[in-house]
Amino acid sequence: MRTFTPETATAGFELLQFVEDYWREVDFNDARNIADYFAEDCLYDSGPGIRYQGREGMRKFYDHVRSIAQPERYVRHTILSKHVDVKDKDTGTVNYCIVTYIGFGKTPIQGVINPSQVTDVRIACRRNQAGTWEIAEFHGTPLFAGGGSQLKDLGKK
Amino acid sequence: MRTFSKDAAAAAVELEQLAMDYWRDIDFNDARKLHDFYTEDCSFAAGENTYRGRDGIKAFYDIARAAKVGMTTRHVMSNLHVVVHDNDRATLAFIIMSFRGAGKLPITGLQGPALVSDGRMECRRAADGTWRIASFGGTPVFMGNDPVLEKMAKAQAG
Repeated sequence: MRTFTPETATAGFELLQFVEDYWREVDFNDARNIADYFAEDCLYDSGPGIRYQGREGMRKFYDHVRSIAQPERYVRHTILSKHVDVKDKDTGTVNYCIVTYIGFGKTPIQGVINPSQVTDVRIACRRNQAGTWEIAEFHGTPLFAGGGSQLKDLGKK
Repeated sequence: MRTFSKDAAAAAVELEQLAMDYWRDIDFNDARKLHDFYTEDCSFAAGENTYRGRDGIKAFYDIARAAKVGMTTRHVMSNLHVVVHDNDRATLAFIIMSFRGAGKLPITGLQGPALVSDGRMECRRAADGTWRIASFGGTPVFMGNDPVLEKMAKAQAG
């Protein structure tokens, strides 16, 4: 079983909150500043046709996401089972699961909403010169897809 | 409201991550090392069945492994509540949502979780300083139509 010192526990907590910040940026700010969460030389791989490199690649990906979003579409990416591994003071990995809900209309959207997708995620992070965390690699593996899943639309044309 | 000292906060992170490691062993390693997470004198209660000792854990997960051949499962954990009683004892309470399906990824036709359960772990620090689970209790709250659970119920009854 793993042990944590107060220092590695703090780094682990930072990484877990970094994940929370990331998905709040996606859900509450349409990912307009998402490139700031990535290292300049980052890799993003989330399934067939969804592979981008560098911050410019991340801007392109989320420009595409916004361009296909329908009006009055609400998305919440719920973050579950966050497993953090602090390798040293400057590098760490977080594995977690995203359960995504999508609905259309005015909030509160009525009726029971089933999840649209369940996805495994692994991010490899490193600390930058300013001492904050950045994503060097992002890997997403969609496991289950239901109504509203945008997997096909998100792949490059 | 509760407060945590630095040591208690570090213990809480250890306990939180113990729970994450535990469910990852189930989902990514077919629970083959799960007995290592438990104390020698542990108890494990799932629904109306109780198993004792590390051999009991192995027996339960032998049944589970046989029942879910060919299935992809994710036990996702939320609402993890950690109470550090002292340096060596703690209690975890949480909710587990189980998603399950068969076939090539991504498995389509997702409706919702197959099962939503309350979970509880009583933990003790072992002589080597790491945490172990002394007792586990799982209480199903919402159940869908899950063929794996039906197979497991038949195996446990038989």
